[in-house]
Order: sequence, then structure tokens, then C-alpha cells
Amino acid sequence: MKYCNNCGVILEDDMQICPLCGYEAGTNSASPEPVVSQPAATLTRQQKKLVWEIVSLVLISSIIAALLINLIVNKTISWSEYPVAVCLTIFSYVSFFAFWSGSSAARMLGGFITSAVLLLLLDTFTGGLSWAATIAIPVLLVASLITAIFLSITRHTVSKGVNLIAYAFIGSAVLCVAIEGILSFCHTRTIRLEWSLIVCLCVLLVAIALLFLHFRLKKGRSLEKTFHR
Amino acid sequence: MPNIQTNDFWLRLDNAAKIYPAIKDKELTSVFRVAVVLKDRVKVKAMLEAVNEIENRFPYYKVTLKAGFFWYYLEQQQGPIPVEADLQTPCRAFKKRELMFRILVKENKISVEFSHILTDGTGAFEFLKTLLLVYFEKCCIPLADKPVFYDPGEKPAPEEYEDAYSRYFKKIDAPHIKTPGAFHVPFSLKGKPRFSVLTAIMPIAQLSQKAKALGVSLTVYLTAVYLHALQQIHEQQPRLKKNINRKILRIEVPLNLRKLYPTQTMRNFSLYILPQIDLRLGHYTFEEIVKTVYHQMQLETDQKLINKMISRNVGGERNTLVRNIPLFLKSLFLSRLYIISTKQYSGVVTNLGKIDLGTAANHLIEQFIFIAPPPNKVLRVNCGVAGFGDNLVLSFGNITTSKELERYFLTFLTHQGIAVKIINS
Repeated sequence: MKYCNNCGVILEDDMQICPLCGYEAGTNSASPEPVVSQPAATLTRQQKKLVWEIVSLVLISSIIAALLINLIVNKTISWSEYPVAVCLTIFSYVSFFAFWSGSSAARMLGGFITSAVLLLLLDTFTGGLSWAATIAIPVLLVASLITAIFLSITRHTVSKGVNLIAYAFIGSAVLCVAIEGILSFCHTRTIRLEWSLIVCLCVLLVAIALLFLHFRLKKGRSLEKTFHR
Repeated sequence: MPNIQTNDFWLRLDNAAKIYPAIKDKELTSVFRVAVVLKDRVKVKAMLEAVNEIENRFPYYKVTLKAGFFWYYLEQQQGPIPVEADLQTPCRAFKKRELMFRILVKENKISVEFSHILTDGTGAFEFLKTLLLVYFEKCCIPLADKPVFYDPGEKPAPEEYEDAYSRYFKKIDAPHIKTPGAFHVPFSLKGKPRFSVLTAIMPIAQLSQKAKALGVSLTVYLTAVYLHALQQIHEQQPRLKKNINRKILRIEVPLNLRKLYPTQTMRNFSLYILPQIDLRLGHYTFEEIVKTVYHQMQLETDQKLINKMISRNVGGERNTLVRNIPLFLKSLFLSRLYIISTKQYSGVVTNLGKIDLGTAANHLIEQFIFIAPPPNKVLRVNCGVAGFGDNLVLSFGNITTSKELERYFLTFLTHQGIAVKIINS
């Protein structure tokens, strides 16, 4: 008869690993991973590198294409600054998430600092500092913060469903307010909000509907159990 | 009543369970264990099959604790019942969002651990009994005379879900008489994790003979031994401490109310009686302790007094003010209430009774072990009792550095000529 050497129960002959404690049958060696544990859904280092290479290739070709077209058509670098800026930002974040082994917060911070530096450099080399410090970096900061908060909420939410979409909507609404605020402050030195408030109102209604759908209808959550006395 | 049919299944906590969410923590877990030691090693395949089969028979246990605005409640949790190797300290706390019971297996021992929020010893024992009988079935062991148990194929009766305290509540307007505080063992607390268990096994026949000679039941006898041991500890304190510390020794003896009030409930339905001796009146001989404990237990198990206790507890829960204050305030109040109530007794003797699963099943079982929830910092030591076959098993839960109480308790028994053996729990 076959025993588990760790918890001492009788195993079937075809059981290689004890289903209770995850120890290998018939040996004294422990397999530290219990068999019930789910395989991790993260990419291996090799896969991450491959993804990074593909993304980098696409970004670099986009940057080159944008710059070339702008130069050929307008004989100067004007509008291509913006797609290039976007590509550089994406590139720095992707690089940090692919190769940095720290926590998500550290990766976000690394991505933010690198893209800020790259944006400043880009702005400097294309006709002096004009938009990077006053608009691009503040917007990027707010966007990074909102994304970080969203990711942390997603991680800590037990029941994942349309409520996450609602949170994403709320996040984008806040981002819109921030963008309009930053733009208006940059141009007029005062904060005046117009279109972002309309966006907020619309998005909020959608978010409420989604949250209602999730908490009240989909899960069948009755208010009685929360508020019973 | 809960809506059992729909997926929106939830339960109110029963009257006794209401206090536990407010007080439970990593050390004071409110988790107790009922274990069965078999003659043969557990076959893991049959065990997992048995757990799978009874999976849906006890839906009122497959729940997690959720905080509402006014009260905690229990919400249905999908997913399998956890079966784990029994390699850690007994009666560990359950994590948030985890089911509040677990099945543990090691060598030839099957244990179930339940949070008191879900049920009492009787409920847990019935669950273990069902699991065990289905396990024997899965091992292809035919049992001729099975005891009454819960058929896994059957639907649970609505009465199994009920809060029987509420059902038998009658409003009684008699004032509550305040119980003065009791003596507590003066031992210092152990470092965390504090809880440790000492298990002793002894022949029932020898104990019964002693109890019978005094004309009392085993529970009365063991309670008297506990009080006797406490008296020794009290008397051996330095003079100053002896004068300062309280002089009433009182034991909490839980009482299964299902015997007094018919119900099929599988949730908490027990109260307690508090036999005591007052050392201000002088030293008690063992025979005197037995006599007074016997009479106090006879008196206190009076149904009218129990009705009064139910009325007080359920009345408190139904009080308009209590009902309408938010949960966090209520929890503060409840944890305070718990400390006050544990100050009333010096020890606990909780007896699961004499277990009989029919001749055929009995032959496959060595013994049952009942471990009471870890005692709190005031109480520090408690005792769980389970009788099976020819033996009685005592489990002392202890969170202190001293095993003096256990030593006095067991030496007293050995001096009475009872063969006490300490076993590995």
C-alpha cells in the first residue's frame, strides 16, 4: 500500500502526488507547490522579451514613418511631435513592465520618470521647450495615478464584472477633467471647466447603470441582507 | 426566513453566533474541533469522494461572513469544501472570505473545525458523523446498523436552518441577577501563537464507577474535579494574592438545548449553566464539591430558568435601540459584553457526550477528540470532553506557559485509581 510520507494517508497506486498536502508519494522530498494551486497567469521572461521586441519594432517604425512623412510634406517637424511623444511614452512603460522585476508601483514610477525625460528631450530638440513641462508631463502624471488606482481597485475587487468597466469610465471622466483643467490653466492661468463636465455627467450615468447592474441584478444582491436589522 | 431556493441565499446569524464576529481574531479564533481517530489510515481517494458527496447537504455551512450595515450576515459561497492535511496548530482562525469550516486529515485521523459563528459542537459532530459514514461507504465497508444520519441525497429540511433561540423566545419580564466575577488562573500568557492542547485518555468504566459511587453523572464529576483543581491553585497563591484575587470558582458547562426544546436546527443552540463554589465559606472537600455541583446543575437546568436566559439574549438582540445602531458601534458593545461575561467563570467543561455510531461503525473507530475554542486572555484554560467506546478523552486548551491546572486535574484522577494516559493530539 502506498502512503503519503508527510500526512500519512493512504494513496491510490496511480497517485504520484498526495492530493492533500502536495507531497510526492513514496519519497521524502517535498514538492513545494501543492497540486491544487493554479498555474500563474503571468508571462515568462522569454515571452516578455518577445512581446517587448514586437512592441518596440512597431513603435520605432511608427516614429520613423511619422517623422519622415512630416519632413517630406511640411519640410519641418511639426505635428509628428505628438505621435512620436505618444510612442516614446508607450515605449518607456512597456520597457519597465517587461524588464523591471519590482512592484507594479515601482514599474509605473520608472515608466513615468523615463517618459517624462524622453518628452522633455523631444520637446527641447524640436524647437525649444513649449509643451512638455506645462502640459504633457502633468497629464501623464494624472493618467498614471488614475491607472495605478484603477489597477489596485481591480486587484482588490472580489467580484469582477461590469463594475470594473464602470470604474474605468469613472477614471476616464476624472482624466478628462484633469486634462481640461491643465489645458485651461496653461492657456489662461485659471481653471475653467466646460466640456469635461458634460463628459463627467454622461459617464457618471453610465457608471451608475453598470454598478446597479452588477451589484443589484447580476449577483441578485438584495438590499435587505445588507440593511437587515 | 431565508430564501433557500434562489441564488440570493443569505442567513442572519443566530442569536449565539452574533457575538463571535465582534471578538474573533488570530488568537481568539472561536474555532473548535471535533476529530475522529480511526483504526486504519485514511484512504485519501475515498475521503475526497465522501466530501464531494456531502458537498451540498449542508448549505447553511457553505457560507462566508459579510458585514451588513446593522448586523453581520452569512452569504452563500460557491466552490468546494476545503480538505487539507492536518499539519498545523488546531483551531486556526479562518481568513476573510474563506468558508468558516474545514476538513483536516492526517494518518488515521479525520477532523472537522468549525467557527462558532456557524454552529455548536452538536452541529459539527453531526456533520462529522455524516462525513464518516459516507466515507466508510466509499471504502466499500458495509455497515449493518447505521445510526440516524443526514442522507447526502436528501434536501436539507428548512428547520435545519432555523435560529431555534428565536423560535423558543418568550418575553419574560424578570430582572437579570448580576453574577459577581470569578477567580481566574494566575498563569502568565505564552508567546504567540499561544494555543496548545494537552489530550488525556482514560477508561470510562473506571470514571463512571467513581461517579456512580457518588451518585452523579460524568459531567458533574469532571466539573467537580475541575473546581477541585482550581481550589488547589487558589490555595497555593501567595497570601497577598489570595486575598486580592476573587474567591468564587465557577465553571461554565454548556448545555445542548436540543434535548429540552425539539428542533432539527444545525446551527447554534446551546446555553450554559454555571456551577460554583465560594471559597469565602472555607475549604471544600471533593465530596462537598460534588454535592453542591450536582444540586446546582439540577436546579439550573430548569426549563423556566433557561427560558429566562433565552428571553434575555434574544430580547437584547430585538431591542429597538440595539437593532438600530450601526454595526461598528454594536461590535464595540458586544466585545465588551463578551469580556464581562467571561469574567463570570473560571473554567469551561464542555462535554460532547458518549458517542455511539452503531456496533459496525464503532469497530472501525479508536476514539473521538473534542477541542473547545481557544480560551481568551481572561479564562486562559478550558476543557473539552468526548466519550467513545471504552474511553473518555479530555482535551485541555491552554494559552499560558503553565500546565499546572492540567497536572492537578489529572493527578487527582490518577490518585482515584484511574489510569490516565497522555496522548498526542
